[in-house]
Amino acid sequence: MSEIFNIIIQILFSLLILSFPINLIENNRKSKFYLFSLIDKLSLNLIFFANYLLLTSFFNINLNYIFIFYFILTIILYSVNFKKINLKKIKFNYYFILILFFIFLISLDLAHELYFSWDASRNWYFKALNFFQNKNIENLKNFHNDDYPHLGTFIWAFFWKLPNGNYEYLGRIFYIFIYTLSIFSIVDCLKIKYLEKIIFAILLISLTYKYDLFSGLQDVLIFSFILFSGRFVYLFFDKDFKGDINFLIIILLALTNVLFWIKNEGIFYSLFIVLSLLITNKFSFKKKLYLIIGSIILVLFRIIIFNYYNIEMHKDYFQFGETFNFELISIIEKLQIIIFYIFVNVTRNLIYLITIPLLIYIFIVYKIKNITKFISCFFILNLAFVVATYLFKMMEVELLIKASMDRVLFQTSGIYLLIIIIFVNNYLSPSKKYKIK
Amino acid sequence: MTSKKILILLVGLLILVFIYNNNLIRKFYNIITKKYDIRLSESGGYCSKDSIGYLKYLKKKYNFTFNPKVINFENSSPSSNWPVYDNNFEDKDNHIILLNYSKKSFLLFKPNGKIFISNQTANYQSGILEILFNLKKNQIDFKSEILIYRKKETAIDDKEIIYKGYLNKKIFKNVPVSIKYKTEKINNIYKPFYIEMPGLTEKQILKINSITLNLEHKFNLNDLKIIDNYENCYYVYE
Repeated sequence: MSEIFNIIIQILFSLLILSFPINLIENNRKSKFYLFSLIDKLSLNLIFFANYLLLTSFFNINLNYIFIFYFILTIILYSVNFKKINLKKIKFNYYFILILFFIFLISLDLAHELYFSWDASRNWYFKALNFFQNKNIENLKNFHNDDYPHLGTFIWAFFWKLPNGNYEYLGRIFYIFIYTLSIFSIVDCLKIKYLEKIIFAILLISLTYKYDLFSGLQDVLIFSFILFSGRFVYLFFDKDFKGDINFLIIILLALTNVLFWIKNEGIFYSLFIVLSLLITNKFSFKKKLYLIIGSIILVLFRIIIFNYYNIEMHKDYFQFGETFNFELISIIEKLQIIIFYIFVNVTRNLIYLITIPLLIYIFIVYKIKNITKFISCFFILNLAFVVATYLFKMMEVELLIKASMDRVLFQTSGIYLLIIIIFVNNYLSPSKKYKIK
Repeated sequence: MTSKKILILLVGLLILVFIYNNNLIRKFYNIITKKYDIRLSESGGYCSKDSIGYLKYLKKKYNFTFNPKVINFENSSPSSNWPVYDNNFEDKDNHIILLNYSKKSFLLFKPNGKIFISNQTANYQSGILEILFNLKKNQIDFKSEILIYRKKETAIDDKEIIYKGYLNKKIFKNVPVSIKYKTEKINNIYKPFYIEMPGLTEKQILKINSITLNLEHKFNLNDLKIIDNYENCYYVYE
């Protein structure tokens, strides 16, 4: 029974961490946060916290001190906003309770299965252990694939160590928190009844959940943060959104930064999102410039940090020269294999299976909206990236595809849920048309 | 019944389906009744798969103050040293934990057209001892080059040759033919192996059910001091 108690404590601790700082400074109608729902606020707290952890990870500070500093920051915020807080206003939110319940259910599965996947037991666990045992970033050189970014494992180590550090898997419960929150966050885009949203969220969880997502792999984090990106990108196109676009740009850049530091491919995905948004959204040139400059700064930041720690990308991953030196026939042969397996894996992923035909249907039947163009643009870039990734790999392509392509396709699949959202919000019930660009 | 009540009912039903599909009641019971180490050992194997159970047992019994070298002979497995690894300790490569170690190590090749393929992988082997043909007949006249390789790439003729030899003799069903060839190239836990025998006719190839390559272990138990053992898992000192 003590482990169940530990799981509950862990969930409550994660909730405590994610309750700050946005919720403390939002009780003001003029506030940028006023327009956001509870799920959005939790998401914003998470994005803030992930960036906070990333920043502190570079200073090689003990995890306990990182928590204490965050705690002090929260107390200060709490004191400053003390007068605004009205406990009587706090409502019992069923939507939120359901999130916690699903986190608990999935945590049970995690606590039972426990095992690590291949990549996790070779790479990711050791990075998490490194931070759990208060070793610094330089020490990661002692393990395989030191060029893999560390943010996901730093988060794992933080929640493994805190609040009580009893079991390793407790650290992975925070991944469940992120995953569940991201599902409910994207569902928040739907302009339907409260209970219908809940049904949609449960269906999405049932559709995407399997234990392997939480077997120490980082793909679920990429999936989740892309879902968050999808949620906030949707607001860029939503005419009902009366908030500040500059603030959305900041959120998107913060999400981009998180994706940069979870897995190397996260750099591409987040830049694809930014690029697609720049191409398809009609906000001012000045705002586009902010987004471009912000993205460049984040890319430079990653390059500088990697150079500082002398981390080099492993050259044996991609061998562009050799690929183009091949005869044309071998490139065609590779392309055939890649396209065949993309088709196979797309048909095995229910999200793609539902959303891609729906996208084609929308294209054929309805007038195209900018957000549909955004998804199409992202889809093309993403597909080109997947093909290029395997085309430039020198190891046996088929073997690699069999081991990884389903995960690669899963990582970005979440953003295509926007297609369902566009369909439901705009086309499914014409009497209740919501404005979207 | 109002639509709201129907929706609430549907939510409840979906939650129940999720619980049922993932067998969560049973898992909840197991978490309460079984300790963490037992559950870990059940999912990762005691002396099978990642052999987490045996590694945890060794860690507890010997209270390591160093990181032993862990070698898992399970097909395509990574080292699985994570249950005993500690960043605060130094690595000691003369303390070795051998997991899923079978005294006879081999690769089994199945026919695929004119070539034979093995999807098994080799790790910590020092070479090829012998080759063994499982024939449909009792014997065949073998007169051909034997080429054992891995593919470097999917591109045509891009082979990483592991062994190349010529055999000109009568081959008997399941009687090993000595090769005794030392090579480190045999070790790879990612890629499949291929055997080609260009000198054999299609008819002759059809007479071969399968081919087995017996390998030579890098770690011979006779040369090592066994400190602890459970089935195919050993803690040895070199």
